[in-house]
Amino acid sequence: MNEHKPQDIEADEALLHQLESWQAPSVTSESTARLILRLNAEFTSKMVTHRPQPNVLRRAFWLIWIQTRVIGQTLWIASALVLLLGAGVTLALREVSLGALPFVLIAPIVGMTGITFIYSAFSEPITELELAAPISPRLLALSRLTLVFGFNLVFSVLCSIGLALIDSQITLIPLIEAWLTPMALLSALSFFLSVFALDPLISIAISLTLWAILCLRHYLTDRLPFLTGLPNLLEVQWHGVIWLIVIALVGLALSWIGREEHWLRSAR
Amino acid sequence: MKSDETLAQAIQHGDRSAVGELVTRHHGPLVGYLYRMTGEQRLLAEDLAQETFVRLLRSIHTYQYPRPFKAWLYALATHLARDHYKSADTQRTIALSVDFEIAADDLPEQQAILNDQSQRVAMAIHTLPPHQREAIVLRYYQGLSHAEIGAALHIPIGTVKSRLSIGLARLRELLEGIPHE
Repeated sequence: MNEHKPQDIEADEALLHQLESWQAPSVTSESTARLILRLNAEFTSKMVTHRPQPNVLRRAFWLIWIQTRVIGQTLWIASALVLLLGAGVTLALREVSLGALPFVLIAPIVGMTGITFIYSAFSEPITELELAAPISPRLLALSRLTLVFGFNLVFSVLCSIGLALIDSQITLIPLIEAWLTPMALLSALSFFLSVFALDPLISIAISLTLWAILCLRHYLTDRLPFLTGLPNLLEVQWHGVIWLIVIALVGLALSWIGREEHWLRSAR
Repeated sequence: MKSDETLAQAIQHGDRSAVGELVTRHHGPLVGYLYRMTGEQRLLAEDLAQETFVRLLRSIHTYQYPRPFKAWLYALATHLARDHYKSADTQRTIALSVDFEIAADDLPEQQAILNDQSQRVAMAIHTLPPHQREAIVLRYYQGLSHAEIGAALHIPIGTVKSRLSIGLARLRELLEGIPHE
């Protein structure tokens, strides 16, 4: 996203020194007082409307919208392409009787990867926006999470609809159920790990390992009998527990963000 | 201390004292910004600053808490400054280029003026295209962050960085070889 080197967009000490030599005249307190008097004269009841606070939906929409300014287009394009690729592979392997398995495997990984990079500690524009905006950093992080997760969710649903329409062997609702809960779990886990300042790659590695174990336990137990000791979290009866874990991970991460950003602001 | 955003919200609710507090905080820096943007015309800068605050007050009902107030204030001021330099751009550009030509001619009187570092910096900044000048002045004189500049100029952060990068490169060229003291 950031193609400029720090030395290109920050003035070096010598240049700063030169720039500092150009001083603007200061304003007198009388001049400021005169201006305040004039503004007080302008201040009429007509001018001030007791606007209600923007409603919750409008504010939420705005919060999500401003996140699009700091999330690079690459993320959207890459996520969409990988999901399309997953759908394409699923269709190409129809003859192998895998059902929608390739797409079910890929969709949670796309969700998890996107979330990892939106909260990378190295994402300078994001940190800067948080410091510049008088909005709770938790709200900003939550809106960013909503935006990226929402995008992946909508795109995955569209792909699922496409798959169900093209392949009569695939039924829509079970397909969505198969990838939605793991996608939420892996996204929440990678969000949690990223917030705790782990390297994005380590965060991805941990989430991928978990996903691999869950898949092996669910799909290949007959070939790997030693995994039967583990709970099969991809079974529908575990979905409720998984969603509770998702809420707990996001809650913990958001609570940590508040503490971390409070420190950043006070150190500013 | 109340934040600018809280004070702006207080004005929306009819608190006159909040006007005074905001003006006291931002009048000086805003005049400085406009002074630099209008070719060091102090009276014009003060007029434009006054006009900025008047417009701000008149449009205070459009302010949406908690949007960053400073970016909104500088957006209004930039708008006014642009209106000004659109109408006066041709004359000033000619005047500035003449000044630089004279520097090359090494006339003693003009040289004495141009040796003044402050003047050289001012002239160098004024040779930049307005969009680069705005970014440079907001960043290095007003202390706005990249995100705040983006919000004030209604441009993405990437564009802010491009403008700063090109503007700084040009300034380095123009100010190269000039002593720092």
